[in-house]
Amino acid sequence: MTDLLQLLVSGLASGSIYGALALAIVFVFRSTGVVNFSQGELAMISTFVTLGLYKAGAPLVIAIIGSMVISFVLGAAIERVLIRPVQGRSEHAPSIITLGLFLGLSGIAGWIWGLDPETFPGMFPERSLEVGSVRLSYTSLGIIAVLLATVAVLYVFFERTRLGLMMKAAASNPATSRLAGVPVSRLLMCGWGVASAVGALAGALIAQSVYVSPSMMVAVIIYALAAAALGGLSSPVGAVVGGWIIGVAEAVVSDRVGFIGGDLKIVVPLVIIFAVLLVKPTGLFGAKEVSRV
Amino acid sequence: MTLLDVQGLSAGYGDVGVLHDLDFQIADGGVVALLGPNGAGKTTLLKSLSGLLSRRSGRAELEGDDLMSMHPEATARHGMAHVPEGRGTLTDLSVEDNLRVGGYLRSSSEVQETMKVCFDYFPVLADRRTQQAGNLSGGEQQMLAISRGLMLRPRLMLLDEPSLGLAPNLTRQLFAALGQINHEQSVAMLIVEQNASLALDLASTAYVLESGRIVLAGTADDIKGDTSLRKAYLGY
Ligand SMILES: Nc1ncnc2c1ncn2[C@@H]1O[C@H](COP(=O)(O)OP(=O)(O)O)[C@@H](O)[C@H]1O
Ligand SMILES: [Mg+2]
Repeated sequence: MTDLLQLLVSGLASGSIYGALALAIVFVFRSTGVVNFSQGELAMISTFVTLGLYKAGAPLVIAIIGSMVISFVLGAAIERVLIRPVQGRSEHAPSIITLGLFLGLSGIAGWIWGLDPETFPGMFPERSLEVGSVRLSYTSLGIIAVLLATVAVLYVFFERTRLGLMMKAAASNPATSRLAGVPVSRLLMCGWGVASAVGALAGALIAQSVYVSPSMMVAVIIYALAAAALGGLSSPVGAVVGGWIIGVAEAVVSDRVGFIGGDLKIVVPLVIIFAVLLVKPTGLFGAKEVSRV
Repeated sequence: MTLLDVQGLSAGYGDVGVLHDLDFQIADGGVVALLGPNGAGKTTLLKSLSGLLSRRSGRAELEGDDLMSMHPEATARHGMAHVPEGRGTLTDLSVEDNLRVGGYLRSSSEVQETMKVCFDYFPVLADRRTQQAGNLSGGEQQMLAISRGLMLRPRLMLLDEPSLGLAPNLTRQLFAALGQINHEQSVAMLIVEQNASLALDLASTAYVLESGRIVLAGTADDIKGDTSLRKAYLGY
């Protein structure tokens, strides 16, 4: 029983990592209606930036915050320069651009930083908390705590602030929002910026267990997209719960089901998504389809 | 006093011209009915005034400010509230949040105040304030769309077929509310409406649009009083 609890916590920790990146995906989708397939690669660039600031002598916390600011600008610039011109021309054009970015950004990262994996500094103490006979690592607990704090901040932002409301409005009905004077295009840019900043934070969390390299996000982004889809694509809480379900299922299944080893476990999120979407097509926390009379 | 002065307005989509050389005026606080068959270009006209449609030429001035160079955000700042065809509500936001968005350009005390005014005109919205707009009935959504426009505290409202899909008695109630709003809030209105007789009761002036041209202009009373004009242009 005890190691099942341990499995649960490590599953929640890796699930929190998927959830953190899924949050960024949800943020873009909610504010612009685009699925950003390059969110992971953007977060990878952000992680290199964080590492660069850290190596240049900045304390880790400052390096992460600095990278979040730089990532905000980078995300906003990508929206303005690459997404804006194709938005509205066809429904899928922006998402296809983000697929192109996915390839482009990893190429650029390899060119700038090389392909050799680098280690990222630990954010949390390397000890464990002993609860009875269960050992919970501070890193796992810390990752879960940072994610929960991020969700809380985003929740308050969307539900309690004017800027958050206007962002929801801009995403929900750009034309009507503009007619009310809401600066929709600036808010969409802002949405990409905030998502990239969240991605930078996710990158630091991911780098607690993965080496920093241009390919660090390749597997993670699939889990994160799965988590976001599971949660309904537009719900921050859904993204986190989706991440947790996938993380825990992955940990338990790969540990307990003999024939599913490390290689086959990537199938786990697919099976879960398939099962959930079959039963509830809008995802676990997706907005229910509103019928227009 | 002329509030809106339009001279030689033309507009269209891509290469296709829809509106051809329109001249018309709206007086300060006046109500103008814009009538005409489907496809005449009524919606296109409202869109080119509010800035939703940018392929337009000619002159259109709101109290001397040139509308032709403005985006929708700017026409809103100049006091124009366009309530688009088919209920421009934010369906996944609550009624109250819809109104808050409508009051984006106003201070929070003005928002509170104007929200009360909207709830006075449409009490049912007060009862539904926390409900998602998409779950409202068609009539309630139209009231919300109009209220969203009111939150701007506009000088001029452009209303595109506010009665679309509503039952006759609801339509009459809605028009009664519009008349009240016009008087009490001193808002001028340009109303597109299929029910010509209802629109002519509310409006002081009317224009009939056909194939992108104004084919009839006059006071509402003159048009109502002239059976042959009504038969020829409005079909009743
Ligand atoms: N988005 C559009 N693209 C191209 N043509 C359009 C578009 N919207 C309307 N039209 C055309 O413009 C003309 C006028 O349409 P509209 O202004 O909607 O008329 P009304 O509101 O009077 O029914 C019609 O011939 C219509 O087909
Ligand atoms: Mg129309």
